[in-house]
Amino acid sequence: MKTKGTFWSLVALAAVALMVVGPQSCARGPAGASVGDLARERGLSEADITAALKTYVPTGQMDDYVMFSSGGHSGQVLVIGLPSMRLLKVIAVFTPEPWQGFGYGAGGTMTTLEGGLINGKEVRWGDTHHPAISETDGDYDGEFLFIDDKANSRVAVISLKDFETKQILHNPLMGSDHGATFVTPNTEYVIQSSQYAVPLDGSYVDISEYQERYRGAVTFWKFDRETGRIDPSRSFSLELPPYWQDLADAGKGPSMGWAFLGSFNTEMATGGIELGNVPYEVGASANDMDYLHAINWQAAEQIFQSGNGVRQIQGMSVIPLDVSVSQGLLYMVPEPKSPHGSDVTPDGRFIVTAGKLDPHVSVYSFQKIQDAIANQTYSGTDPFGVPILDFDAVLEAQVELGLGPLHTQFDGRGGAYTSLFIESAVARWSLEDWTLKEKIGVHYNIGHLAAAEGDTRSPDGNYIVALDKWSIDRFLPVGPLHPQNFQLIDITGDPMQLLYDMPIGIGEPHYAQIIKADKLDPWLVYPEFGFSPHDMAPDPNAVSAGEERIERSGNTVHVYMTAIRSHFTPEHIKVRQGDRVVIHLSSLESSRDATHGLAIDKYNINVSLEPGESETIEFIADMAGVYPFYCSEFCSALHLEMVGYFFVEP
Amino acid sequence: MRKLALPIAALLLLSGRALVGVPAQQQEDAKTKAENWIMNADSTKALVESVLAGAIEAGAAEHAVAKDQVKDAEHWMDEAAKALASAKEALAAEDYTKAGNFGNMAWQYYVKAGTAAVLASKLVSGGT
Repeated sequence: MKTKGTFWSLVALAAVALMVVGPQSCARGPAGASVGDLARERGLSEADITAALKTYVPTGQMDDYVMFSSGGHSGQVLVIGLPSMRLLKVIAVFTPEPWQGFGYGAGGTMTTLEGGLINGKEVRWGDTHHPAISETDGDYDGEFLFIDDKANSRVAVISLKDFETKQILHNPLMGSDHGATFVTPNTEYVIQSSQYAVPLDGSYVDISEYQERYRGAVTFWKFDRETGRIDPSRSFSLELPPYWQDLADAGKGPSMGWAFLGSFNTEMATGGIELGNVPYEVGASANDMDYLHAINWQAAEQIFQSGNGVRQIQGMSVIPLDVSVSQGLLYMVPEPKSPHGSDVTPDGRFIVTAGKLDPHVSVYSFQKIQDAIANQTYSGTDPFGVPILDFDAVLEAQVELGLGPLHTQFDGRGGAYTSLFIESAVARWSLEDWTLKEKIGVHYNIGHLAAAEGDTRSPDGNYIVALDKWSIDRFLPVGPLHPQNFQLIDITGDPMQLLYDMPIGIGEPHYAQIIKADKLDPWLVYPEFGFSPHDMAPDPNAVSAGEERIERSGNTVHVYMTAIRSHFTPEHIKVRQGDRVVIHLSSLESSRDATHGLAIDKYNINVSLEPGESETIEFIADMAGVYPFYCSEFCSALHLEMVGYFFVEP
Repeated sequence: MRKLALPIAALLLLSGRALVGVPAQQQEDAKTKAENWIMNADSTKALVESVLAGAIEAGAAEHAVAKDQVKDAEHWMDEAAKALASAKEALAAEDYTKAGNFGNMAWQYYVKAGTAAVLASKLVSGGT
């Protein structure tokens, strides 16, 4: 227990620190009040002051870590600096975003979004869940980021060179996903597994045929670092029983080559409360045990490459269940009860699962799993013939943590951290003696948690962030829809210390990953003139200074345009109503603070043009009239003069 | 208003069925299963009642924010009681499937009530 004396010593220390850093300080803040006075007036405790000292990053200084968080229903990704918890960027992914010109006319972004069409239909929102930073040898390498859209079973690829989305893919086998995205240790594959089972062929099948015709699936999307894209032609899927697969993780070290998926509704409940049937919440939680799926993806890769028994379903290469069983690709491991997380320990030796309705985490030994497979230590098979490994034979330990354990991360010092949803707490426990060490309350109803590099082979062990669901009383009220709450926790000491609350007002972020900032090496301007962010290469249609022009070819008008402070060239564009207009727009800027925008009034067009960037904008001039266009970034003192007119003759 | 120590230890028993590592394939007969669900719901009910009573005693019903959680907990206690009564009725009528389903449902409702009661306790104790 710290004393009042300790508190005032700390205040004095802060005062000394201020004397060192600035001539105006002398134990007085900029407004003239002493640090002690400020603390007293604001009612700050010793813990408050240490938290502030641990998180404050002065202007001009940089954070130590970058956290990539799902943006939940916003369909985007949040980029946040730690420990300051400052929001650095919102990366547009599944949802158009006007500031970045994502989905408002810029050809590259329109092409990216079109990759996410579902049966030709635009679905312009996403429920982003689990970001995954690309890995090399089981550690984050800072090159790419992947994110899923649970609602529409899509995955996206983001380059961490320019923090822009490059590719969106729809998985037609799945109705929705949840075990996505997770990567294998060298980012050979991006894992996506389904949540709610549907017929894999996309057809209508009555729910009465659920067990026979509905299926889950896991897809291993092949990632090609050279192109920075997923290659669907080199990707494969496994048909899974119609349980509801949940979170995934890839094995590493000794468990390299395997992947693990939790599941629930192994009861295969089919609901129908409106018909007087047992509701899902009861039917899907009747069993004491569900199944952790253990998948030998390296063996599955060989089956896929051999083509033996592989079926084509909706353009996807699918290994049927019976092939998975006969080839030893899939095993079930009993896990209590309605589990959520499946988390592989940093050394790759153990898999931790947490049952939402069980106060324990269960820890499975990968070696014991291998032994049970080798010795056929089964307790039976599931209704689809998949071997069920004997629970006692593969279990290493169960650790009683508290109410509603969900998800586990690691600190690299033998510590594990599990979120407790019902209890609104984070439990710290030991991988060495399998005992609970400490809990810290969070506010409130935590879902996932993220530790600094906490799911890699070498976690960093300084911070965790609790991704809380309902803030309730933490912030000024803003109506009945409360902000979500990120809470930064210092895990270097004993006890853990809550440092900072960060409200999030754009969705329910599900999961985040935290990388050391010095592992990222983003461009500050595009590397060469006329660069296409979509192609990550020079644009053959880039327009150099002096080459600006307007060319008509039939009903198509090509406009070759440049932008530089503080004018567009050309400034007058005259077309006829009904013409197809193609604007090839290049930035002549090379300075990092010289971003331009091109907004064409009433035509729903806004393009963000970063220094060196080249974009193509294509549209039909279907409205006659006079339409100003202007630079939508405050690019210079004469920003308002950076304008032109788009004339459309009737 | 006194600080309330969270009765988490008691609530650990909330999900008592899952404490034991029983393999899924071990089939209980429908009657035993129904009796277990009802017994589990009954014991959970007692625990949640005590947590809720503790929160109310600590002032949660008058607390600006916690009072909503108290109301929510009471709502789920009512729903759970109805489901538990239906379960016992079905058990008496030897409709074991129905009894098991209602027993499970009652338990789920008590878990919801317990979640709200725990949150009320945290709110009234300053969120720790």
